[in-house]
Amino acid sequence: MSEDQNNNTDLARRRFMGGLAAAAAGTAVAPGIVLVATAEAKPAGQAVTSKVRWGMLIDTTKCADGCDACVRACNEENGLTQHDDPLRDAQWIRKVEVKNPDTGYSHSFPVMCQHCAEPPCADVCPTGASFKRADGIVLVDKHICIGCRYCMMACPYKARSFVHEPLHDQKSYMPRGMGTVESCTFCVHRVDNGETTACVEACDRDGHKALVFGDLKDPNSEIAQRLAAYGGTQIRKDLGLNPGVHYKGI
Amino acid sequence: MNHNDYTEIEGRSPGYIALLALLGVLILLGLAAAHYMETEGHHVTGMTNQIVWGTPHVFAVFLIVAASGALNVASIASVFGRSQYKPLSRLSGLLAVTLLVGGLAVLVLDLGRPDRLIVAMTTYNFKSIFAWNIFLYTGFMAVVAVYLWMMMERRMNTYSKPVGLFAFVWRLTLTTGTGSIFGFLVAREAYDSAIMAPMFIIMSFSFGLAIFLLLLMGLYRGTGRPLGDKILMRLKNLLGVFVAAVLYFVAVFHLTNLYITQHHGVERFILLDGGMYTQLFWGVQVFLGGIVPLFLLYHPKLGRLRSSIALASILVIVGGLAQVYVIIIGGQAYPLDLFPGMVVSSSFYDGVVNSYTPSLPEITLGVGGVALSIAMVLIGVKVLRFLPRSLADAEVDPHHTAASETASGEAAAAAGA
Amino acid sequence: MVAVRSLWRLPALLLAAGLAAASMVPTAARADGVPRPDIPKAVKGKQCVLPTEDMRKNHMKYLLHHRDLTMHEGIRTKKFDLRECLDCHVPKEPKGQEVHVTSKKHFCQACHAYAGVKIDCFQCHSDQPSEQSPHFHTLSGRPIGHPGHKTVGTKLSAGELEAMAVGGGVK
Repeated sequence: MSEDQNNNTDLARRRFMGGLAAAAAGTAVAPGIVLVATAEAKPAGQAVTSKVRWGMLIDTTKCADGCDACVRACNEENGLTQHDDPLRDAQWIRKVEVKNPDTGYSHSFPVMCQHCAEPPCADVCPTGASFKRADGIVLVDKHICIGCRYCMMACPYKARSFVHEPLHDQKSYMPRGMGTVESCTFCVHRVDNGETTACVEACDRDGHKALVFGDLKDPNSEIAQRLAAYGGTQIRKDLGLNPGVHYKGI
Repeated sequence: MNHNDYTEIEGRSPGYIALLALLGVLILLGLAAAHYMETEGHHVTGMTNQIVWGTPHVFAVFLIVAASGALNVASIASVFGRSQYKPLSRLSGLLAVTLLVGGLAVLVLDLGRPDRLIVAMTTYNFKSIFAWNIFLYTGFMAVVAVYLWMMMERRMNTYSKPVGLFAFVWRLTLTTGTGSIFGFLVAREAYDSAIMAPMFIIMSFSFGLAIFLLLLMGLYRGTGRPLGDKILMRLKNLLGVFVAAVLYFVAVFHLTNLYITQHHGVERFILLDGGMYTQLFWGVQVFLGGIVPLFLLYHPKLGRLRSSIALASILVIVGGLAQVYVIIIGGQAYPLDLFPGMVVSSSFYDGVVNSYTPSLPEITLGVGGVALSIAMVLIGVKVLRFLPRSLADAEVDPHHTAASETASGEAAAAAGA
Repeated sequence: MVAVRSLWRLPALLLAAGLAAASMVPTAARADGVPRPDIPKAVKGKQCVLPTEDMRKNHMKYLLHHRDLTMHEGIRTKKFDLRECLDCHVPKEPKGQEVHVTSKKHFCQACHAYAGVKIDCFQCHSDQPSEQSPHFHTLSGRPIGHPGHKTVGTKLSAGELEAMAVGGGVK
């Protein structure tokens, strides 16, 4: 072949290889663009549906002993002023240290409202103030809560707190008041706005990335992928409540 | 016994006025305590996020359980046809209503938002036993009111039997509902059992009758009306049966739990190393509230003494309060078992026995409820004809007296002949 | 005849006297002498989301209806957001000088004190304009009601998925 022809062939080959590489790169990246570009927030003014089920995955192997970033973030986000009275202060999320007395292995991880699919708190509430939203978030409708605390008796995870004192300076997006019961809301004010929860955000910001929040029903979500790949369990799974919070490593 | 044999009490003695005044003060103090709790928030009480139901609930549940049991005496007359108990039916109905009102008052005033009672009475989640209880409690008051009307209005007396049966079934349902408040809770190891409902029913028999007996003796002594031994002996023997039945249910409950390895932790706590709760269980509930009353009531000599019967009744009441305290507060003191087999600790008191001390506002509120019940009885017997003029043996059982008169008459005639 | 005519004389006399008396009473703020509440003017906007008379009469109906929609169905609209109401009707004051609902100078309380109706809302809800009025932002900086195009950490990119498939974790 002449040099020109060789050059042309080389050029053509290079272009072809370049084209292939571009196609491959595009194929690799394009789904990501499509995935990321799809807004997860539901449009404002629309009702939530059960097509979505919000859940959380807590990787206890990544949870650092002594770190309470998630707890502090929750307290700040929701305006949970602490009065140095651990018996009565609201604790929506807490770090629990669990030790196996036989093996000596111990680790710590956060526990909050498990947002069960069959919440006993909603079963026992006389007015229906404790309820499960269609998208799986368990909430307290404080407008009709009479403060009887039966839900606190019924919760197997001790997730709920009662407000024991008059409150001031509540956050505008998180109303809470004396005489009503409250618990983790999965930061519903953020979730409805297309964002993630404060605890997950704080854990990510601190670099531990032990918490993952997402749609359990969406097979493409990170949480669903992780659960499918690595599995996870739920606290007191035997009670059959099907909590939305999954744990890895307990 | 016809209508005119029931009369209002005079109610003008200094003792009566003084007692009513004292009860009035206690009621006002109870209201003040409730107001304090409502405005300051529950941080002024001993209740916390770990022990959410405290002394007010102990009093309220005790009073409500006793209320349904107090109707027992009337039921024995109307439903089971024992005519000797018939004179007591009206007082029994009155006591049932007043104890329930007292218990409900304490329960409602302890709510975090008592101003939302209207919401509680108009918005219902019927999967909740609490919602059903609201109907059962208010309905009970209406049913007993109608029952009393049937008994006290001569023209309606024919209906007192079917209404009495309806009231009997209603109160069994009510007590089942109260027991199920705890029995339906899967979260707490001390509850979560079908036996809670029937155990509460048998507890109601015992507590209700003890209060009825005490009140009966007190009212008749205070007004100087005769209270014969016949009726008293029947009532105290019945009380003994109920006390024994409660002991049986408690025994079965704990024995079954002891068989279930999973429940060994909570059983160990209540029966062995729960500190105050163990002392309350064995010392007050079982011994003072069960064994000692049984001894006092069935002892051949002591069982015939009024003071002994009164003491036994008081002990049953004290034992009953301890039983409800151990159930409600002991059941919450034992930690929830999120991680079976593990040693757990946290900033939210996971894995540790929760401590609780009754606070003054709570006790004041509970005592206020009791005072309200007693005051309502005292006012009721003065205003309407609840109390028989006499419960002497001759009045209560004329047939038996007539027979013994005839027998002694025959004996005299035979002797004379 | 004479009796009937004289029967009407007394009521007519009383009516005349009453009108004369009424016209002599010094009037208060308005011509009819009825005191009115001193309602603070809104701090921004020319018009409420609904006509004023409609709001005055029916605001509780709207509040109750939309609070249930928001609470139970997650329907959040800007028009019926309580924070938007407060942003317009309550001025933002420096810390320590806020006008709370305990004072009659607060928009809601001015009328409610006059009407003698207790307000239950602000035991739980903040009675102040939202934290970063006029637009509320979450910790992430995005305003409520204006969802972003990028979500935070809930979906994986293709590259991350690939990395997971190979067996590593997501870093």
